[in-house]
Amino acid sequence: MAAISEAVPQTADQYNEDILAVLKPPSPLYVLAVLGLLGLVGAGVVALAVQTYFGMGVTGLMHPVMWGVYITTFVFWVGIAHAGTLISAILFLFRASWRNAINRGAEAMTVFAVITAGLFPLIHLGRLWKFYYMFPYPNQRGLWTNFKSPLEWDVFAVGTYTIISILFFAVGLIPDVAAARDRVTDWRRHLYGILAMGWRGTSEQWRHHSRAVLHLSGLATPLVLSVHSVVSWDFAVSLVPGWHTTIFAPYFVAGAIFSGMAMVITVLVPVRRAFHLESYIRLEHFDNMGKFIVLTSTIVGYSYAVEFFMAWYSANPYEQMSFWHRAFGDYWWATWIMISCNILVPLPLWIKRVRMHVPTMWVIAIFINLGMWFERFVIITTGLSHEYSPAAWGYYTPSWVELTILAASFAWFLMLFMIFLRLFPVIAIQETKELHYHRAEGH
Amino acid sequence: MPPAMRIPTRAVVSFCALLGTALVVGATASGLYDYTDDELSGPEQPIQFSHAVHASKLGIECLYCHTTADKGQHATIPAVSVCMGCHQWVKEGASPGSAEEIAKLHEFYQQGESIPWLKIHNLPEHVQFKHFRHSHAGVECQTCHGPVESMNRVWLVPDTVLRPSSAFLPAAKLEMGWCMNCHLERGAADDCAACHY
Amino acid sequence: MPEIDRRDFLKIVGLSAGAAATAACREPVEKIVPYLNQPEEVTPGIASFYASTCRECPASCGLIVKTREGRPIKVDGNPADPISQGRLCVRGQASLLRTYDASRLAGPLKRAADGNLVPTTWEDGLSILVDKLREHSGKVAFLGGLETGTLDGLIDDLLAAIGSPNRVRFEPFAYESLRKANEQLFGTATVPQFRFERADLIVSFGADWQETWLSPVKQQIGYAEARRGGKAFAVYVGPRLGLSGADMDEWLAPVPGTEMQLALALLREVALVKRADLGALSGRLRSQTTAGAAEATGIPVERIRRLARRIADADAPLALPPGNEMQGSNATGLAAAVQLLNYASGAIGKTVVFGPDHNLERLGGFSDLKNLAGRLRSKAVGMLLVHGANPVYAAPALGFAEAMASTFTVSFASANDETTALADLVLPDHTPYESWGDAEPLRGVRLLQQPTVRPLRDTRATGDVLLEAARALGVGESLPAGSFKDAIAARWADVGFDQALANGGVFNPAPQRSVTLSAGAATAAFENAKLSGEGDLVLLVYPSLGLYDGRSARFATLQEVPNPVTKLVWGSYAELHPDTAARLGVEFGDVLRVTSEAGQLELPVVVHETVRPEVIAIEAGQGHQPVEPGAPDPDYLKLRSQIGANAFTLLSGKTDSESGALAWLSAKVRAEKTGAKLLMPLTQPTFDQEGRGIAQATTMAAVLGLDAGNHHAPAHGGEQHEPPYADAMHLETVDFDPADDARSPDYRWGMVIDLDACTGCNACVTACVQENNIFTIGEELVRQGREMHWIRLERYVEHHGDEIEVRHAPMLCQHCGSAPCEPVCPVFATYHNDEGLNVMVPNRCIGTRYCANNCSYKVRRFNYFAYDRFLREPEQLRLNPDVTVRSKGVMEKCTFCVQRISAAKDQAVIEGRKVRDGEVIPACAQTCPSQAITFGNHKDPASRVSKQRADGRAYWVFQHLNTRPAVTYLKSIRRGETGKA
Repeated sequence: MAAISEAVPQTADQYNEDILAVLKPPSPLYVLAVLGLLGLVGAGVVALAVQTYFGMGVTGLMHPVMWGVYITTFVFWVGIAHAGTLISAILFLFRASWRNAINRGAEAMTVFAVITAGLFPLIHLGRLWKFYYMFPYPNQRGLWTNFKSPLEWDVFAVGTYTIISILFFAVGLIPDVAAARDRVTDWRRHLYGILAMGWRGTSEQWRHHSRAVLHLSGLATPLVLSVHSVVSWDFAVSLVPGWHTTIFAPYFVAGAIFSGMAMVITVLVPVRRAFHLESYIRLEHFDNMGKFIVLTSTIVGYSYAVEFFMAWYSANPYEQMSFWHRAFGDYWWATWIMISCNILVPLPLWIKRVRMHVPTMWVIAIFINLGMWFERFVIITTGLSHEYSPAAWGYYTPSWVELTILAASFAWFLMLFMIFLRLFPVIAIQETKELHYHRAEGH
Repeated sequence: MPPAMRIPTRAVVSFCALLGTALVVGATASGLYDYTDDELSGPEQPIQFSHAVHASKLGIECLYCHTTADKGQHATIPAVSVCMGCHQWVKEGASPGSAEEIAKLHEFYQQGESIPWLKIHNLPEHVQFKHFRHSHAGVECQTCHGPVESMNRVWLVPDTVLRPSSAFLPAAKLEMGWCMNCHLERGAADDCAACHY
Repeated sequence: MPEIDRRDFLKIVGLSAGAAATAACREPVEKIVPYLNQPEEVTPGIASFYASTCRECPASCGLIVKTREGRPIKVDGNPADPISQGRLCVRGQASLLRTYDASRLAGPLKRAADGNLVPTTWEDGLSILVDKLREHSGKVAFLGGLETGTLDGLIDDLLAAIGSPNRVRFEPFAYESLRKANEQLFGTATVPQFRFERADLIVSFGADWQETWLSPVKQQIGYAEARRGGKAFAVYVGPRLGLSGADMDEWLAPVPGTEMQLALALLREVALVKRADLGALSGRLRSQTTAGAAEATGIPVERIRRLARRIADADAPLALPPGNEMQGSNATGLAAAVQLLNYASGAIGKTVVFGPDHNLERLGGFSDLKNLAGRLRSKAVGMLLVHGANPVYAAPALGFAEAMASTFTVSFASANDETTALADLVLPDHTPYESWGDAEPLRGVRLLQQPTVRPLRDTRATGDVLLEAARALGVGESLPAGSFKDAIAARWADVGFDQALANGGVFNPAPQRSVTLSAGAATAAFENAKLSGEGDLVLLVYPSLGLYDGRSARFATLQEVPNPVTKLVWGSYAELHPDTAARLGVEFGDVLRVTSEAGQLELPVVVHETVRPEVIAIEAGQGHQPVEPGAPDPDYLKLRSQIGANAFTLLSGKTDSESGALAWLSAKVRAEKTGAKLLMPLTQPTFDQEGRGIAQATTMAAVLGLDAGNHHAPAHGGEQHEPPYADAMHLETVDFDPADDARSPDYRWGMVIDLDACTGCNACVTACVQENNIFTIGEELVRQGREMHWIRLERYVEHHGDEIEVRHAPMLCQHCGSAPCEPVCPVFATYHNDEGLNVMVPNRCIGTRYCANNCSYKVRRFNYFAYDRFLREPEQLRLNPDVTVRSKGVMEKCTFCVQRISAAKDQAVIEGRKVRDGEVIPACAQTCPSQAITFGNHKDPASRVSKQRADGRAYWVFQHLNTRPAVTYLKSIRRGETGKA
């Protein structure tokens, strides 16, 4: 900890002071920002309405590229959703105490990301109004769903993940909303009241609470691996050259953590600045997250290499053509954006000084987000555009509808996050307090 | 007890109330209770034609008017000329008010316009239903159409079946589950492509 | 995407608000309205069939029209008819659209004072017609297309009655030079029949024998028959390898204009070998050395010799005289040379038979049109009646537009066209499916044409109009009594009208007659074609497979059927050889400005190696003026207001000196780059199959089993083997039996497609469109890659040194035994049924499109828009009620015509038996003139598909993927050492 030379709060109350400071009435700038995001979301809704009314033709989709921006964005957000659980659950189990400062933000991010992701499988349906056919609900027709279909697996994987992450978030929130409940007087009091579930901080409740968190962590941990594995199987179990490969599950999970970490940084840096939380989200956190990124970036880079190697080594001409096309074909630009953003840009993070330099971290994180979106775009689009039959090759360009909805999804995510910022303590007070006391003992 | 404790109870109560209404509304919307009184007595047709009179009292065969029920895809409503076949002479029946109704028929025919009957037994366009396959398989008209011969006004006799395969959810008459029920019982085709192409 | 107007926007807002609410709405009450009077033979739900005649081109194929509830929904060939023999071409299949054409004329029009055509009543129209006829009697001219039936006589009688026998029968494809040549050589100015089915060697001098030339369907059937099992070698001579040429084994491309020398050299050599007596001609041939020909044509001596030897050795050789695209200033001479070749090789009377002749001798030609134009200018003709001809479009060089200006013109066209737009009075005729008629395409082969639908517009049969006019003029007594139908009945009385009506006509072809070389032959003029105009490119205008001379250009469906060579739709394009393109510095999609003596056009470039380097090839038939109400109107399917460009405007009207035929191959043109570039509506991005073995070929040796190395292991051998042909991927394949892929004990439906027979003629594609309610979506959406055709007719070009080999493979749903599309659908909208069909249930589909992604053959089609909204009244009448119209957002694909399977099973069940082999025929198989497609039941070892599947040529596309396709392809056969497989 020597390297960290920042003022550490001395008294426990100061935590409540600092952290709950967010609960003061919002600045007009904040309101403006939220309204702006809301507007963008509105644009997305109109775009979706247009698509629903006229049909999928308003997108850029065509033969043979039947999936495009929507599925790309779906996978992207599912990926983002991973960092939260990783930080909260896994690091909790590993007792990586440094996580405490950032886990609340990360968990919130997870919830919002998975909610956003969940929208896209619906948005990309040709008949959105029939989406419920995908759920195995009892119906008079006696029709069932096809459990062999990876899309059906998605329904469950994403569904489970949503529930668990929301639970995890809510439970972790209890002591803090209780603290908040007792200091506000307006309508928020009721909200906190409900969420606090009558928390009074008795030792009894504390024991139950820590137990709950422990068990939820146990439940959530395997999900981090399973959810994105399942999502990756959407592609891996298919016959499409460039999709049909066994490396996808680990490759996607690593990518998910990679992009998730990057998104945590992207979001927390401004928050840290805005709410003067420098003394809580401290450089050590960035250092650690930086290490995570370096690790996962390396795994992802390795996966890219392996994909190309296998394409060559398999001596399967379809596979070879597909990957040649990926690197040097119509979509070369996307591929090279992906490679440079995900492999080259993170390289400086091997150096500690870079990891400790917040602005640099932030810029790198943003590039990684970009790169990881393009990774999914490349996999989906290049795979489909150059399949088996040369007579059915094609080039896909997204339409304004797709791009609007893509932008709206980011707006939607950020909007939810900003509302969260104003409503709840972005840093887990109690856990940070623990950290404080531990540190105090350490002295 | 602290205020915090009371709030959730209220919340819980209101939540349950909300859920309850949602369920009722949903159930109604999903068409479980599909039959209005007016339908049970049958909607009013342009002409008060009574199957009871023609089929039961006079004992006219179904196929006499619905000629292609055993030959073609549709059972077909008889052409006005077919009605006129008898009614150019039969200008009044036994039942009261029959004269007026027959007069309507004559009017339609003289006007040279056909009779806009209301369709009672209606299948969606994506169903390729073949009447003759069913009559050939020995399915009675009444199985699907109910005791038409005793009706003064044709109406869709409500019938719902509960099948294990559909988790005992009620399938109303002419809904897919209802068709499937019979198909499975009789060992008829259970292939989607039998009716949907 | 579609424009959003205010109403749409409101709908959208409403929708986004109340989407949830609408889900629970009750269905609206539907009315069910019976017939007033039950028409006999029309039973709702049961189709009735009528024999009739196709009038899309002079070939006049016999038809069987399928009608439901009194409206025709599908046409197919009449098996009793010796011409169509139950098959139809791409145009025949689409011919219903002329009747269901939304932009047809609604009723009679007359030229108002303000110079516009305005609607009028028939009474008014007729009175005007009668007055004008009276006024101009003696100076009336009738310009019509080829009529070979009652109407023909009727017109003559009428003209005679009013004392003005000015009759021009004009067809843009009139075969004048061939008739002239036959007159010179054999003293009979007729067009003989070319009996492909008897030939063992076919040499086409630029005759597009399966596109527009003479009787395409009959000829294609004959060709397939002659070639079955690897027989009959075929050679194409001409500057461009069109559809007809592409299927032939060898391509000789002489320098344009020098075809004559090639023909004469061949004639000389063959005559020498065969010791044919050419009389005085033989002297003139001495100078025609093969070396000289090779020199001029740029074809190696040995290839000419080889061809000559083939002809001489053949038992029944057949040389086809030039088609329109090779009709130059020496057309008659060239035709004569080719006919002499036939004579010398002994083909006359064997494969080239006089009697029954094509009924074309009364047909006029370009020259007649020319003097008509002259007489219009000189006021020798005061009134012009136009029926079934469009000279303003087809002969721009003659300046008909201004010639007609001062003449009172009456048009009988049922839909607007360039000529009709300039007419002073328009009395629209019924369409063929609405009217009575008859035709005699071959001497003695007489077909009847009967109405199958009540006229959809306020039109009248021209025959009746003429009769009425005649009676009003008081010359009625010289014409048949009663209506036009009575006239036909009377004319057919001798052969039994009713019987003929049931059969579709009477078919007793005139007997064959022998011809001898007349002395006139000696005078035949043999010189090279003259190419005039400055510029270094030779203009090759070729007739269109889909649009004929342009008369079918208004059919959106045909506009969307890909050009068999370029695979482009909705437009006309300039085809260049790669070298030429490189020289001009243009590539695919660049717009060229093409300038000839006669005119100038701007066309996007298509680059492919199947044209000679100095040639620029343009398809005829496009570029119709957008006239309102007119052919496809601009906002319909969001089309450009004018589709393509009219290639005829580049022809200066030069003619063949002897026959007066329009010289198509006569212009040199200049082409320069404009800098503009277009996005092209291309349906197949590459013709290189990357050695993936999609369209495979084998050698004659392998077929005969001489060459074990190339021989395919028996299909049921069970052992694994190397892919049988070099260009198939060397990936492990496993043999399988499709019969295993169906739980039903009785049926496993499957298809066999013989690629050796398939010529890529697109007839199957169009038949499929008509049968299965496949929507036409317009240029813009095709460009975006949303094409809907269930059959993609893939065309691949293979290179063997400098030789080019074209292969075709119809690609449709393979109904795989283990289909990649099935497991990935989350809702079972697509699944494998007990009879082995890969079923697609549109109403269960939610549109995840995963199936299409996972389909290795890329044959699934997605409804990107609500295409039924694209239908315009009365187009919806042609929809097949047995096939569900797919809504937006659902997937669709080939169903093996499941509705026909279902119908056959109904019959079988009622008769208490199994479906017999050949009882189920999908639309594609039914119409295929080459009979390349066989459909049947793999559970029945005796079925044709089971037998053919065991053929040594059988293979399965992407077999290594182990999808176990139910569609078996038979490799095409490479005859001879070079050229096409």
